[in-house]
Parts: sequence; C-alpha cells; structure tokens
Amino acid sequence: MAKLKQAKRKNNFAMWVMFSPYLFLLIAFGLIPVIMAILEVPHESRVNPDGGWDAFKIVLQDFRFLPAVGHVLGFMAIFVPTTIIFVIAMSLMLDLNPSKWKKWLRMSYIVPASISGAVAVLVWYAILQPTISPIREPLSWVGITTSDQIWQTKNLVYIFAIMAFFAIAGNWILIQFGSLQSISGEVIEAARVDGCSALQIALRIKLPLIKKYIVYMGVLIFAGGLQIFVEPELLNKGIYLGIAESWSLDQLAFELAFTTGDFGGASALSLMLLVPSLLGALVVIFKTDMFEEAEVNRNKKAEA
Amino acid sequence: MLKNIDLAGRKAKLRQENRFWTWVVNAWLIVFAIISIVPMVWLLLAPSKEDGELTNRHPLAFGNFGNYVKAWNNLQFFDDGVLFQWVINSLWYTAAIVIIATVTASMAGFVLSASTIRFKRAFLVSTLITMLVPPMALVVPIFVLMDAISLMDKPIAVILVSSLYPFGVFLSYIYYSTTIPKELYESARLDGCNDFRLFTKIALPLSWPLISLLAFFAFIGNWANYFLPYILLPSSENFTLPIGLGFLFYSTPAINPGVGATSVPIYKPEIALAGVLIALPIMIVFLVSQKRLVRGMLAGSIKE
Amino acid sequence: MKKKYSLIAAAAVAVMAGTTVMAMPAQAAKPKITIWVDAPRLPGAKLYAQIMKKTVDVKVELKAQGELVQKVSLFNRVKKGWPDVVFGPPNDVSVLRDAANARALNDLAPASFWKDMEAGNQWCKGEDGKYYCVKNDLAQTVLWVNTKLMKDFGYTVPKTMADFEKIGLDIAKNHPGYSVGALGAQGAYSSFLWPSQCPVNQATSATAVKIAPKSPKCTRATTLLNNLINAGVMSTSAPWDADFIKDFGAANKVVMTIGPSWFGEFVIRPAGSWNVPAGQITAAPMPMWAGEKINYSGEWGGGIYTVSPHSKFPKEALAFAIFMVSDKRNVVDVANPDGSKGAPTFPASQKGNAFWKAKVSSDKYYAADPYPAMLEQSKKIFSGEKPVSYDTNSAMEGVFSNELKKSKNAQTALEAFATYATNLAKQLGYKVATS
Repeated sequence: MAKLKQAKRKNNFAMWVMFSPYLFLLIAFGLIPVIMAILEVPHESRVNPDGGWDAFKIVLQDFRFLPAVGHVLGFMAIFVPTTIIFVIAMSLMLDLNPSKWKKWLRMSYIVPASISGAVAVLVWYAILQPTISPIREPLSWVGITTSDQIWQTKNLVYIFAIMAFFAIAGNWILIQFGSLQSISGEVIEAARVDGCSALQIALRIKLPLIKKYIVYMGVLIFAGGLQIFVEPELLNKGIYLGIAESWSLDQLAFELAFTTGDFGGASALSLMLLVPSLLGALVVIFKTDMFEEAEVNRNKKAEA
Repeated sequence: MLKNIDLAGRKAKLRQENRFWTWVVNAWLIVFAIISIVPMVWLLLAPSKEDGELTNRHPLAFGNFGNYVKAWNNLQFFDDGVLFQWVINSLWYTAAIVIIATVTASMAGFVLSASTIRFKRAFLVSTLITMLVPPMALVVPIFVLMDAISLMDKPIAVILVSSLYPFGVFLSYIYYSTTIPKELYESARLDGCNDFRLFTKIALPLSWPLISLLAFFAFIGNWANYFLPYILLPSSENFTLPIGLGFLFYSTPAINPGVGATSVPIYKPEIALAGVLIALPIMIVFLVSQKRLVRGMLAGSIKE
Repeated sequence: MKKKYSLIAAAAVAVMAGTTVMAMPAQAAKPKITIWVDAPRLPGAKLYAQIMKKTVDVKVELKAQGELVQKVSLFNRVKKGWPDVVFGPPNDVSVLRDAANARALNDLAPASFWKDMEAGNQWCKGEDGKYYCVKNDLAQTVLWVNTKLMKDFGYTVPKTMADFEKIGLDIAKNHPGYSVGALGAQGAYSSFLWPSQCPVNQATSATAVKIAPKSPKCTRATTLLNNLINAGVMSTSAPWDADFIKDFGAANKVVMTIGPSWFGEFVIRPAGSWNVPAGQITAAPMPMWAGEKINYSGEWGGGIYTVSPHSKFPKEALAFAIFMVSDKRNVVDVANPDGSKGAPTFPASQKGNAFWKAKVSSDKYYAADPYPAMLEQSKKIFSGEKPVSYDTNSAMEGVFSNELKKSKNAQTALEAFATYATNLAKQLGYKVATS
C-alpha cells in the first residue's frame, strides 16, 4: 500500500502540470490581490496623510460610510428574504402538479435573468419611467404619473431590490425546482397516504430535504447583494446625476480609490467587505453537508 | 371503522379544496410568467419605434423593421463605429475566457478527483471559498495588482482574472468523481498509461457534457460582466458591450438628456438596440440550455 | 526606467560635446495629442483633427463630463494615459489642480489671446493670477420668455423677482397647467440661489469655503421657490426629464423660465427636446432681487479646457482650446448630427463671441434677438461662487435635487445639500464658514 502511494507520488508530476494553470490563476487572482490590498492599506493619502493602519478607522469614520451601510443593509433586508421566500414558494408551486405545459412557464421565468447589469438599468429605467413604461397604466392606477415620484434616493432600496430580484429569481426558481425534483416520489407518496395536505408535504417534507440548497442559495444571494455596484453606479452617473452618489459600499470603495485617490482606504474597505462573504462561504462549507458529501463519497470509494 | 369513513370524507373534501388551490396556483404561475417576459418584450420592441413613438404609442406596440436598421446605423455613427469594436471585443474576450477557463477548470477538477497530490484538501477548500466569495469583492485589490504589474488597460488582464473559475473546478471535480470509477484509472495505469494520457484518453472522452456545462457557465458569467472590465480597461477602444452601453448612458442624450439633444443621434431606440445586443445572446443561451443550468448549479448532487 | 537612463546618457553626451542646445531632430516626430470632449463638443473636435491632419496628430475621444476626475485619478495612479487636453465642467479646474493635472497656461498662448479672453476667463484665474483653464463658454442665466404666451395671457416681462413670483402665482390661478420652469439638475442653484448671492460654494481661499444656507440671501430665494412649487407652476424635475418635456416643454406650456444662455439652442429649440415653434422665444435680462442694485446671473455649466502637465505638446494642446472658443469654423459653421450648425453655447472669447452673435442675432427662430440680454448678463455673473476641490455639482444634482423632489421644500433641500457639501469640504481639509 505504502509503496503504491509512493509510486503514485512520483508520477504526480503530470498531475501537477495539469493542475498548475488553475493553481496559477488561483494564487495570482485569488490570493495575491488580497495580500496586495493589505499592503496597500497603510499608504499615505490626502485623507490619511501620515499613512498607517488608521486607514481602517478613517474609512469607518467617513461621513458616507454609515449611510452606505444603511443603504446596503436596507436593500438586503428587502431583497434577500423576499427573494429566498419567493423562490422557494415558486419552486414548491411548480413542483405541486408538474405538467408538460409548465415547461413554458419555467422558460419564461428565466428570461429576466438575461437582463442584468447595464441592460437591467436601462430596462428598469424604462419600466419605472411613467412616460414610456410598459406598465404605465398600472402605475397610474396607484397614482404614479411623473418620474420624480419614483426616482428619489429614498426609493432606491426598493428599485435596486426589484432589479436584483428579477435578475436572479428565475435562475434560482429553476434550480430549486430541480432540487425538488430530485426528491424521491416514494417519500411524497407515503406522506400523502398518511393524509398530509400538499402544504404540509411542502413545508414538512420537501423543504427539509432541500435545506442545504437553500442555505447555498442564501449565501450566494447574500454575498452578491453586499457587493451591489453596477446598478447604483450607472444610475448615478448616467441617468439621474448624483441620485446614488456613494450609495453602496462598493461604490464608496470605488469613489475613495478613483475620486479621492485614496487607494489605502479603498483597499481597507474592500477587505472589510470580504469578511462577511468569507464567513458566509465558511458556513456553507463547514456547517452544511453540501460539499462534504462529495468529499465523503470520494473517501469511501477510495477506501473500498 | 369510524376512522376510515372520516378519512374518506376528508379526502373528498381535500380533493375539492385541492382543485381550487391548483387553479389559484396555476393562475399565479401564469401571471408571474407574463410579468417575467414583459421587460424583455419591451426591450426587443423598443428599437422598432421612433424615439417619440416610445412615449406616444402603446409601449408594447411594434413599429417597423426599418427602425432597427436605422437605429443600428445611428449607433455606427457614435464615435466612428466604435460600437462594432465593442461587439468584437466582447466576442473575443468572452471566447478567450471561456476557452481558458474551461480548459484550466476541467484539468484541475480532474486532478483533484483522480490524483493524490499534496495539499489536495487545502486546494479543494480554497476553491470552494473562492467560489462563494463574489468576484466583485476583489476588484479594487485586483486593480492594485494589475497596476503593479503594468497590465492596466490591457485586455489580457480581464481575460486572465475572469479565467479563474473555481466554480468550474468544483463542477468538474464532482463530475469526474461521480462518473468515472476509480478502477478505470487503476487499470489504465497498470496498462502503462501515464497521467496525461489518463486525462486525454479516459477522462476527456467521457466529459463532453461537463465541457459544455463549463463553457455555458463561463459564458453567462462573463458576457455581461461589468465591474471588472470597467475598472481594468479605461480606454473606449477596449470596452466591452456592457461597458459601452453604460458609456452610451452617460455620454448621449438618450436617457441623460442633459447631454443635449443636438449632440449625437443616439436616442432610446438606439440604446435599446445596444441593450438587445447584450441581452439576446444570453437569453438564447439560457433558453437552449436551461436544463444544464439546473444540473450545474446542483453540482452533480442530484442522484440520477 | 530605461527611458531615464537614456535621458541621462543623452545629457552626458551633450555635456561632453560642450553644446548648450541639444540638437534634436526637428522633424522627427509629428506632435501627437489626445483630446477628451463630451458629446456637444465632439463635432468641433473632429473637425479640428481633420484640419490639423498634416501638422498635428490629433486623437479625439468622447468622454462624459462626469468621468473625467475619476479617470485622471486612475491615470495618476498608473502614471500614464493622461490626455493632453480635456473639456470638463467648470468646477473641475480646482479638482484637477489638486490632482496635479491642470497646468498654468499663460506662457502657451500669445498675449493677444489672453486679452481676448480677459473678460470671459475670470473663473480660470488661480489665486496666483495665472490661468489654469480656458473657458469654453459663459453659461450666464437669463430670463427666457415665450412672447406668444406672455401676450396671450396679458403679462409683461418681469423686471423684479417679486414680479416674477406674482406672474407665477397668477398663472397658477388663472392658467393652471402652465409652468414657469424646472428646478432639477442645477436649475435651482444656477437660476435662483446663485443670482441671489446665496453662499453655496463661496470659496474664500484654497482651503476655506462659505456654505451658509440660512443666510437671508438664501432664504429669500427658497421662500420664493417654495411658493411657486406649492402653487404647482414650478417643477422639481429637470427641464429635460421626460415628464417635464411631455407635460410642459413639448406641450409648449412654459410661459417663462430662468435658464442659462444655452437653453435656447440646447433645450427649448431642438426637436428631441421642447421643440417650441419658431417666432415665440426670446431672452430678457434677469429680474432683480428686492433691495439689490445689480440683477446678477448665476451659471449653469460653462465648461472649461484644461491642459495636463504631463502633456508633451502643451502648446498644441492649448491650440485646440483656442480653436474651439474663437475659430469661426467651430463657433458657427461646424455641422452637428441633428442638422444644426455651430456651438450651442455663448463663447467666452470675444472673437468667437462676435461670430456667434452674428449667427444668433440673425436667426429667425427667435421672436426677438436674444443676444443683447445674454451680453448684458454675461457681465453680471455674481463672482462670489468659486471652484472648489470637491465635487459640488454632483452634490447639487444629487442631494439637493433629491431632497427637493422628496420634500418639495427648497430650504430643506438646500440645508441637506449644505450638510453633505460641508462634509465633503471638511474631508479635504477645508475650513467651512456658515455665516
């Protein structure tokens, strides 16, 4: 056994060669930027004239920092739970009575996902612009007839939540529907025979079975939401000048770097933003069996 | 006995209730499908109308085909047809990323699944972490890095960074682990296959579904990417379509009329056409391969 | 690095040879400059590139005004890529100087040019008396009047702000649905707060600024605005917002509006904008605030050209700016994509201005020659407002406009702006005075 392993190790040269391109990319663009950012933090700048690790403190005290935190948290408080609940509800509904024609519904749900980033800003500008909106009648029913009723800074959390929701909800509905499909029919049938209603089956049986995918989705949605940038940036620079100035944390990082020239502060902020995403990733990896499963299977096979 | 009758009655009642709720659920599923496609329909129809018609006519009315041509020609006027350059850039950057990412990820996934190289677990965990941390989080640090190695404003910078594809590595790791039995490798090794041949002769021929999956996700992840090229490629001849679209927002009177109606013939129909150029390819790819999307995101954990 | 060594080597050779003047091959390189302009300046810049083809290699790049500062900061960081000459919003002169990217221009052009620009270029004069930019145009506010509507409704052109307000309130009562203007973007600032001498950006030195929203010069303006907003005749949208165009501009329901000198050619006239028919529009002098002796104007825009200290060909770079502000081929002849000709803006150069006057004065579009009012007001731009090193325009268009839309109260909006701008200023080390 030991010999075999040794022999394999020797042969691993080829394996390393095949692994190295990815390893290079992983180190060069996954690890080194983080190190560079850490090294960048203590550089002097106009707002941090003496340099040093005060950069963190200066960013935290920036008058735009707390509002940006507030915006992003407000946005996430609307966007993350709504999306998760909606996606789960939709996929459960789709799973209720699957029939052939619903394939077309699923295809429709995925359409808005192709409208992301810059295009999303364009399309939602149009939709929320009463003069050209495809939903101008529904808008007028609720009394919205001019753009300044909608395009105000205080409404942005909702507007960006809507944009972000439509950009990803369809994909996730399909994915969670797929995960529901993987539940064996026998389990459901057994529950039905026991007299469980569809709702009970959904909540008591199906949901727990796809829990790990929901956590996975939750982390990805959370981490993505935290980094909102394109939508407020484009809106702020291209449509309503100044409406979302330093609105999100990523924008503030960008602003610090490229308007104030304070790359130390920008790096400090980026590093701080990295932490919650990292924590989320670690939760998924070590607190759910999402990825362990594959590991374990491997090991079992290897042992056998 | 009594219990049985009771149960039968309840079942009948349930069925009746069920029919009603099924109807409600289906109606809602259809309504949401319509909501989902309205934005895209608007976007596709917008370039068929004149700018004024967007306001005067029904928002989902069709103008005529000639207006698409007209809008295209007006876009050509913009900065001496730089739009065409953006299309080319988007195509070749994305193609390069898809190829590099797919090749590196499939090889790395294979190595992680078939070899016993050192630090394997560490590589796997760092791949998972990188996969769950949104790429946006690293943009400022990556700028700092690219500046340090003088790759700013060079397309290769975006191509290399975007080719880091941990999700793809994880996907192929799962794929190879679950589809290719370990014994196959062992016997091939005994036949004198070295590790390169193990990959090219055994793994690759079995992995076309994986390759197309990898290419699919690499494409949709990068075609509409905004933040990274926005920061790394400041010159307009290096723009991609999404950056170009953002640029059209703030440098033309289309939706930022403060720029002035007299300056460039780019209005809403033109800008919508640019949006269509970005969104349509993604939508087509999505619709064609929606099944793959589901299978991929569930990362082989679905038992087939 | 290599470059440095070769320079040292060249210098050494020159010293050894005992020459004082380096014999550089004169015809070796055709000067090469990169120009950044926004969309309205694009046709002129392209024309210039064509004219200069034989002698200077001109690369024209279209940029939005808003991206300038960020790009420069990026170039400062990567230490390359600076354009030679850029067109930008007026406040950029201070921001760019701070970023070490605007050089003094006096020695690059003949004295005659500076004389020609003397009246128009005060904004660009640094505290050291040198010019750090060339002003493309003056954007002094005037009172734009629709003579037909004024006549139909029986109003006379207001001479005082009190009259302006009175007419506005009368329109609300007797002609609902008509408007006296829009306050969005920089409308409130340039047309009301600045002419009223409200201290918004009153930089008193390079490190001190006065922002005093509660000063009576401010409150008289915000009170008047609030009255007109409440009466429904003053919109909080921008004059080019789709709904304002639909409800007022293109419906030809704007009876009068205070706006910059480029409003006529840029907002009121174009088919894609208000599209007001010919023979109805003219410009009148600004109405006077009570108790004042001068009917001051504010400015909205009035862009500037700056030359980068990194430019290898600063003379050629400045020559472009000179062409844009004073050459007839740009000022009145250049063909715009929509079929109109020449620059829409009031040239800051006297020479350019004379060409422009001839064009505008003879233009049958206007009900009466708007030029005299523009000329008068161009000399009355209140000079207390100054460029500052932070992005005050975005704050005005963002914080002020948004707060105004939300609260419909100009004073609340102004105070919100003041808080934000004060923060920006303090962060850059400004001392902020509030009274």
